[in-house]
Amino acid sequence: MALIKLENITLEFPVHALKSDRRRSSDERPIGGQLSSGQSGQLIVRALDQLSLTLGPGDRLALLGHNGAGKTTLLRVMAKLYTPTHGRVTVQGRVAPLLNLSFGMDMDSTGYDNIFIRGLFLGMSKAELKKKADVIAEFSELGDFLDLPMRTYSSGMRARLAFAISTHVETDILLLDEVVATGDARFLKKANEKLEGFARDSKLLVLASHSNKVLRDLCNKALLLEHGRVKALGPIEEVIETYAASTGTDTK
Amino acid sequence: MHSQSHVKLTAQHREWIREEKLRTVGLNMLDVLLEIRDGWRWRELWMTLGWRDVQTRHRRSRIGPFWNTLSLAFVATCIGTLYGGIMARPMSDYIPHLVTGYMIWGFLQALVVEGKDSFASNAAAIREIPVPRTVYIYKLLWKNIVILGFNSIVYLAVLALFRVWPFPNIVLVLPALAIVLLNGIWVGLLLGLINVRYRDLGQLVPNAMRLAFFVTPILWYPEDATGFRTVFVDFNPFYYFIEILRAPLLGQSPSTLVWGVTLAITLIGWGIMVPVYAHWRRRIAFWV
Repeated sequence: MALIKLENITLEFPVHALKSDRRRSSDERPIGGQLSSGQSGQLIVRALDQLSLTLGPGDRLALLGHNGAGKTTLLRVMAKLYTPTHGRVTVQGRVAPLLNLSFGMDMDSTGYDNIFIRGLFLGMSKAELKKKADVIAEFSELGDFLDLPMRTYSSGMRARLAFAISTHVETDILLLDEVVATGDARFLKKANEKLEGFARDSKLLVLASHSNKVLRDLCNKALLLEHGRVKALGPIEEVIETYAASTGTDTK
Repeated sequence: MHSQSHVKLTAQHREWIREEKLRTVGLNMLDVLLEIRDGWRWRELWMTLGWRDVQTRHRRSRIGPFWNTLSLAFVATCIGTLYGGIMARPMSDYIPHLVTGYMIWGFLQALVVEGKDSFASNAAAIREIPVPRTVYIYKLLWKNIVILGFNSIVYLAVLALFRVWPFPNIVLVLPALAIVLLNGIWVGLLLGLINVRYRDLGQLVPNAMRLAFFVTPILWYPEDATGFRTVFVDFNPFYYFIEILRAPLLGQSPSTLVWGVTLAITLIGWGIMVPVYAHWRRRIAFWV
């Protein structure tokens, strides 16, 4: 059973090796988290500010917001990579994060080898991977390229492989950060089908993206972040409208 | 957290808060031990990664990891004949002493020098995948055990060449290795933690280790240090860790003092590491 429960999360980054002596403008800034000075003039970034959220099985949440609004940080909190400064995080179920495409990928190893490395990192066993390697290979559609070193791959091909591995893990919660967009139209369609199936199995999906189309296709809920605070939370369409209204763009 | 500043606290309240704090500290330390255990469950991952590290270091070379073996063999031949002559020791005595000592030093040095980078060099993974961080420690221990395995080919050749018979004391290698590895865990977690926050440690450690190599009885014999020079043997932790492995490899039994000192260092090291790591480990992801 998949569950993510965030209670009043605040997350502050200390930025070491950097004293903040430059005067900052206190005006509204379009990007980033909230900056402040901690003890001894050290710079502190408040990336998430008193954020509460509960997600259950079947929820497919879209994360929206400007650059530096806290989308990736929030995903990292859900993956339990970052422990918040205040507040409580409860995550039930296995989590498969797909935050960075190049991660767990060794450029000098073949694509096939990388299925094993990344798969092991995601908690699969070698035996399990041997069984699944063919399915993953087929899903990625990379064919003979799987026997070539990763450095010969284009970024789209890397995305295909990384995505294929992460979505074939036995998992309850999938966290995606702006990754599906790198694939071509054909792969995007395939990825969508995979993720829809994922959602049908009442699993939990959280996806951060700037592509409204991708988000509409995959998600049923949305969270709009602004400087680490919740600006809007609700059905996907409404939140996209709110976001578009606040930025003065259309909703395509 | 408690916002007690504006409230007058009764003694009872203070007692509760103190208990609560103690409980949190206790739980944090328990978490460290759980992480150490959980890391073990991921052995398929760290064994694969460790083995790959050994291979990738010699990628595209024809003899691959056997370069480790070859390099030790060169050391044995060149330094063995030169220093053995300078120190007027018979080859059959000096070369086994040198090869075992040098091989063990390479292992110990790697545990310290790579241990300090255990988090810094895995920054990408730490920001990406929530695996127990002890995985990175076990990976480096395993990698160096594999390298030790390749090096021990030279050791076996030396045994055969100079007719050294290490039995039955060689079985003591197992408990000795266990002690060394236990120390590898606390060194990796502690130095790795400090190094992600204060990167100067990363510059200091290799320099210190280079010096330590010369002041530790590896090229020379501990009994040759006389007068005040005995401090380099008696107060040198590396001497005890070299000796605990070297003695059984050469068929001798390490003295009670050697067991005692290494065990004491193990306990002290863990005693320092557990609370320090428990307190700061959640910050690692922000620091790397």
